Amino acid sequence: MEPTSRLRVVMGEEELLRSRAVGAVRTAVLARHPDAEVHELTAAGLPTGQLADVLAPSLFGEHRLVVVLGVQEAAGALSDALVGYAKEPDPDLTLVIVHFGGKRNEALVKAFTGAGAALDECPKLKSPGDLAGFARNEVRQFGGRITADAVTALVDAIGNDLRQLSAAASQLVSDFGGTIDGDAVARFHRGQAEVTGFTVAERVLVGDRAGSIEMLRWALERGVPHVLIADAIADGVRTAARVASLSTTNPGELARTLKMPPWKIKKAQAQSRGWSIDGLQQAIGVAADLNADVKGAAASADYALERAVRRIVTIRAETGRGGRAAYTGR
Amino acid sequence: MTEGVWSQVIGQEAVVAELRAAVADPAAMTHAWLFTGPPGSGRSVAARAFAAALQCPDGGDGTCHACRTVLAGTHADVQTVVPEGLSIGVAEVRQIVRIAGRAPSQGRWQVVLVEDADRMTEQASNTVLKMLEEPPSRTVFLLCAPSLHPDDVPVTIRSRCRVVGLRTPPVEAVAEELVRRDGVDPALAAWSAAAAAGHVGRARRLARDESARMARKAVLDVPLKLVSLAACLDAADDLVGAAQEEADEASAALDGAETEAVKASLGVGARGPGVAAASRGAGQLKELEKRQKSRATRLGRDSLDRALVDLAGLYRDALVLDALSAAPPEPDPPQLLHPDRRADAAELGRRIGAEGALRRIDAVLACRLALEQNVKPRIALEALTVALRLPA
Repeated sequence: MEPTSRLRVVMGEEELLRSRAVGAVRTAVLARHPDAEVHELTAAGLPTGQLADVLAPSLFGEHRLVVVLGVQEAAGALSDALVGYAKEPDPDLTLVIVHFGGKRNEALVKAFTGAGAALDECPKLKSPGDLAGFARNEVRQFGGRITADAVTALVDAIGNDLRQLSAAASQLVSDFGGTIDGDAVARFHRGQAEVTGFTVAERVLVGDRAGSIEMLRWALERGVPHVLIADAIADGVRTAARVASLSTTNPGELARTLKMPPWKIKKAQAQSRGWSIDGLQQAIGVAADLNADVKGAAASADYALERAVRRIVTIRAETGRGGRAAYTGR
Repeated sequence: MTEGVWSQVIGQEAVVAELRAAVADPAAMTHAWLFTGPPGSGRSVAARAFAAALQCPDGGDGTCHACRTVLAGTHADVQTVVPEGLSIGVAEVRQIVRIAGRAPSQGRWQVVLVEDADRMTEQASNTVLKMLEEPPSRTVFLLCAPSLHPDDVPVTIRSRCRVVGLRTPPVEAVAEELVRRDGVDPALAAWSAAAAAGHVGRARRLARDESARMARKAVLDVPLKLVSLAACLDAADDLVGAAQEEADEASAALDGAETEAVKASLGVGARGPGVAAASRGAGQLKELEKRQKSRATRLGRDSLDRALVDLAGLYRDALVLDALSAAPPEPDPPQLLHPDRRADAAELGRRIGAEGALRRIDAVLACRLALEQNVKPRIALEALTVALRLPA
């Protein structure tokens, strides 16, 4: 779709999408008016006079494109000037304001959309599904196709940096041509880019010894702070203990009693399966020791984390009611 | 014996005699004093009284201009360092030391009083040490710390100070003080003094503040409630929540006014030319926020620490009662820390026994240590209540 509106708002945290949106407007304007003047200004510290200068009709009457970047930083007077212009836009001028997301100067964006400006939203892509969709789309844009497992592997290995994803997609398409499959991705990309404390905690709580150590090493490798991993483990153990210690298993009721969102309750219920009350109590103690260790009580926080992970998994295996309960059919 | 400024120093006859001698006789005076004693024994009160007596022409009569201004904290020749945050930094101490190098402007001595000298950072301690090594002739340092342990006071400082050891004031003396100075009802005064186990400030708060009594009751109710994992987690939540609330209340009362004052002096909210330039003062606001945050953390920790000390006291009582029940009756049984909770302590002792009580005291102390090491309060308290859980 060709951007034709003369007032535009580009808003969102995702830098790549923002610059693409601005780029699309510029291309469209230059296609229609090849000799258009282009002005790019940064809103922070921009004097109102300079804005008035570029917004004023030009001597030769050619079309102008004005891009104001980072309007969330705009001072009050500048915002007023922009809103004033939006009320009486010049037909020979395309004005794009770029807002980097967040709550600051939201009123300005509202005033523009109210005045009929077109809005390009560029929100941060967070969920793996969105990222996979983005990656698939990129590959298609470059003229290739990618299998489902390859997309997952690629997103796992690269994470949520869209520029990197885009670059990897273009590289893969040019290397392998038509269809990109899991093997092709594995040849150049492997590993776990998006690993947080919570990823580690999840593996620990379900008693996945190898998996939890692997995730822990990845997390440390990626520079996740020790304290965050320790906190995530403590939080996971606590939530599981909370859920397991109450008599009810009704998620709605638990969510109300514990003041937690239902999805968290469901996850904690799944994680607390296979734990005994005694085991959870021991695990709480380990988590508290770990918290002191990562804050300087231990000589090596790396070692303290790994030891705590192993201890919690061992406690679960020794006191739990997981495997053996299944054998006895209880 | 205890008239004038000394009347505030409760139950410390030996110490008062020593300090008075130093004020009266130049040969008994020295340039650096270290006041130690358990919390609530009145270290800073004693130090302040001593400072007043030093400045007073009559050796601390409590009525003259010098005495009053020192006790009110406004005397020009008494510099006081009272840490509000977690520690006393080197910048603060350097400033004080610079003033300490001057001759007294009106009084007889230049006095520097550091409350909670154990909160000085290593750098700050070293700065003070420099001054103690080569003191100006009319300067006196008064440092207060809970103990002489090297964790509290570096040995290098300790060796250059005369140590004044305060004892826990007797319960009767504290009760008497509450009646005399605060006009508290004698029965309530006796109860508060006993419940605070000789901690003067605590006894005063218990006697005067209904919410402090409620908070103490809530804490002492905890041990017998810990019958299931859910109860343990709830108790931990309550303890942390109560401490948080207390800290929030205390800091909210202080923060707002401070922030407004700084904002006003920076011209925030003003209009007109030059406003953009004035916003450069944001650094000062950040600095203030940092200080306020540190103070809030300290208030929260202090509140939790009080709760933990009360808890340890109850388990200690359980241990005492358990030991007494096994032994033949003694003519002079040891005092309980929480005499009003005797029944609870006996019940605890019956259920957990001497060994259980000792283990739980250990757990409480471990939790205090953990809080000091910056462990998240909720995590530390959960581990504690789980360790305190009663046997089924």
